[in-house]
Amino acid sequence: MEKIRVSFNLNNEDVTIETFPNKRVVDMLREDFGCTSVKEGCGEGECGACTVIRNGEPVTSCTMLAGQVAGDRIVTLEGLSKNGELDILQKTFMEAGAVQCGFCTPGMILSAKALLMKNPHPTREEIRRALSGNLCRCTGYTKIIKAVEMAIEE
Amino acid sequence: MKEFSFFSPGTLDEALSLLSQHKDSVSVIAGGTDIVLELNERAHTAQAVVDISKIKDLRYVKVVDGVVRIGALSTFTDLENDPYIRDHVKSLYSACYYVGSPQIRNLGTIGGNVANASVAGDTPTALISLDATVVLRSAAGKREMKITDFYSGAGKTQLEKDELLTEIYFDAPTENMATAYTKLGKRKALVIVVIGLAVLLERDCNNICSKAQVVIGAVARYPKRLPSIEHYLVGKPITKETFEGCRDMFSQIVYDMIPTRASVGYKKESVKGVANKTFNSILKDFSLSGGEE
Amino acid sequence: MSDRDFTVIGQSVIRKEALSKVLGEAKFAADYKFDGMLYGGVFRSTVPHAAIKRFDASKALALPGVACVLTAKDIPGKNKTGIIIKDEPCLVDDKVRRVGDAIALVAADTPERVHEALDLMEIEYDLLEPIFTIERALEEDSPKIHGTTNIHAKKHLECGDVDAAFAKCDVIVENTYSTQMLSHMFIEPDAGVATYKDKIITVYASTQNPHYDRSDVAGVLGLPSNRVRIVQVTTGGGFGGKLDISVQCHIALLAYHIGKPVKMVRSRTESTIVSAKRHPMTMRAKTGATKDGKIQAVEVFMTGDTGAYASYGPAVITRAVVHCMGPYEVPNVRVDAVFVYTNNPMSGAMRGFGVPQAAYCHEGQMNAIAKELKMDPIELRLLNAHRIGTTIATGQVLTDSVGFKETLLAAAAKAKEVM
Repeated sequence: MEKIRVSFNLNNEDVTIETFPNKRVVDMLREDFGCTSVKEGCGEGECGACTVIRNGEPVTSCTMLAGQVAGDRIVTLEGLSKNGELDILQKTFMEAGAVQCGFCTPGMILSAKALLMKNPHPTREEIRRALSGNLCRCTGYTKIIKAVEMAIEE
Repeated sequence: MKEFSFFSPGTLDEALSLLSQHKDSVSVIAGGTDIVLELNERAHTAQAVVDISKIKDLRYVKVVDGVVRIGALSTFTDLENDPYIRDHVKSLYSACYYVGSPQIRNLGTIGGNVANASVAGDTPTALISLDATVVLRSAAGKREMKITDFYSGAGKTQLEKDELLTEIYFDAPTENMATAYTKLGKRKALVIVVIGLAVLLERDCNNICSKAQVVIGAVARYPKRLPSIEHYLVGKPITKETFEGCRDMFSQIVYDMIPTRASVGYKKESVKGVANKTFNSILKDFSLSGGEE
Repeated sequence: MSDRDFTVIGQSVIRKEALSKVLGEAKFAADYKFDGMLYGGVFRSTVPHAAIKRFDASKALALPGVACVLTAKDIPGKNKTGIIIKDEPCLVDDKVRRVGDAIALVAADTPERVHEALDLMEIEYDLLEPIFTIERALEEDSPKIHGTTNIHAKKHLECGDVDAAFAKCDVIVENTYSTQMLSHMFIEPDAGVATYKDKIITVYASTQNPHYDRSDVAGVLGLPSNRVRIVQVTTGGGFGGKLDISVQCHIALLAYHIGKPVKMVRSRTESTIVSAKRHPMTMRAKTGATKDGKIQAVEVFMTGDTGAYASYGPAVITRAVVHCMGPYEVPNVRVDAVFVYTNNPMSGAMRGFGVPQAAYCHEGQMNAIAKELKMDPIELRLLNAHRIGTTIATGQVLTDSVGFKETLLAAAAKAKEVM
């Protein structure tokens, strides 16, 4: 099978990769770029654990082929903290106790981040809708929403 | 995933020529939210995969001469955020609003939703109630057909392997019309539709229903117009009482569609609530009493 | 004690691993990578009950990149695993007992190659009658899934004189309750990596039971325990569903045979088919009370479907039996329980261990009694509630931590607020 060349921006850095076309974005990010914060929970766009921010919007990387991100700006959890400084959401998720098993955490934080990038002062209902594509099976939703609200206040 | 060649054309012409070249074994992805899963599970294979998501010209919503034209690559998020759709085509707005999750709405396209013909699609139900037309293009030319005709094949659509669905259009609803769509699911988000009901009503200056287009989705294989309900509504005053008068008809229709299905008991009862909610939204839009809130 | 001693005690502290989790650095099983690592996969049965007539992996073995295919005969130790009863083979030897039973293992250089190899394996079965219901499992002429009986556990609990008590009751209600199978749906599908180095097998796995895993892996490989290490890595939820062996023995066996690290990550579908479920149970209950609302006697006959393998069934049956009366004082009790093997998915541990099923039954019975007596259902419960000093049916005296009344009152107040 012929490899394809994909160029895109990953966590603020322009990258080019030769990869197989039958890889999904989640596989490419995890295997070719070592971004293992991107988790696969269901493999069918239902759980949101593989969420990445693409051109400012959250998307499920398990429902996309590698070639589809050509020219895009992709942010994973690895790209959220800058020079060792945590993003406000990373801090409030810790402080609010919004982290349990931690498997949904990367996708959850990125969905929240994408929301705050567009809408810095969302209502609780808007937060709930923005996170509705991310499942937390430890069912810590109350604290997750609290963490986002704490981030808005700061 | 089995092996395939991947193409990502930037223009429609390029895409159409790729399709005619590979029509023997080709899969088209737009958002990819259905097809990529099938490829990944090895349930679906093709020698060529053509990703049309980079064709920028197919992503638009415009209203020209009283016709709403939607590019096939408009995502559910695009449509939900479009002020015209939100304010004037509430049925389509609601159908997009309740699709999947934010992530899926950012990827999934209206063209994909229509072309993939899933029994659980939300937007086809709304589009049929708007009496929409689909535009299909191939390297050889262009054809148009009503969306109801598009779905007339047994278990499949009229789309040929070398064709792309490029646009969906319908007459812009007038001041005398109201539209609504209600999705019944097991929860609020990430939910497959159990019943979808889309309605377009027109009234005359005496508040008498002069046109009714009512469509039920997720019950039969494809969304279906309900002529008996439409017939009942036309000529009657648009009131809560009129709407209440057809609740049992909905029940009977659902029962007749799926008499042997395990879900029939649930669906034939719940459709009454779905109809109630849909008509309340219509009453509200016409600023009549009995509407929601 | 000085203030310095209270920097943690009595403080809300941030959990230790939270930082690594919000940074995305916490390593879950699927995130582990070793040099020369191969990928493993499992060829699984598509039928519920059958003997294997023919299995042929020659085409898979001929595929470039495939390192090995292993079947039951490649197991150096004991081909038996299981938490309480060792009744689950690591790989099927005598017969298939459920859809999803592991028949063969493959290791290859890429996950895609693993799928290709699995597609190339051929199998023919001699089908046996499958058992899907408890009723059929209990019939004398039904095929036996393990040994000579389909009953894998029986329990009896009795106190007081049940028959005499029912004779004095003013009301008696009799109902049958059935509960369904449930899946835990932990968000991280089962995964693990095994290495074999310096004669030591190390398994990095998503698990809730590293100590049990160790004895099963050692047993399958025929190794002494000191040559088997299990590392429970960051685990993405379990809720009881990761107490059973998942990939551990399979990856260990592959790594042992080829001397290279092997990783296995289940898809959601594979995980859902194979992992344990909540026991579906049927409970036939008879409850009697005098007209003042005091419960006098409870009699329950319950059956549970543990599926193809016992897993935690023997523990679940005990919990279900002793909780049949709920948090209520019942002087006369008779409970009989029978759990059976079927060819359904395996049932095991899930939050509550059979108690939620029993609760469905005893709370239904309390409502039914309240209705018969035209009593407020909360009043009825308070009247019969456990308190300090209560002797329950097993003879245990409750000496402290009996918070049921307070909980019920608080819940009732909250319910009134929102209703």
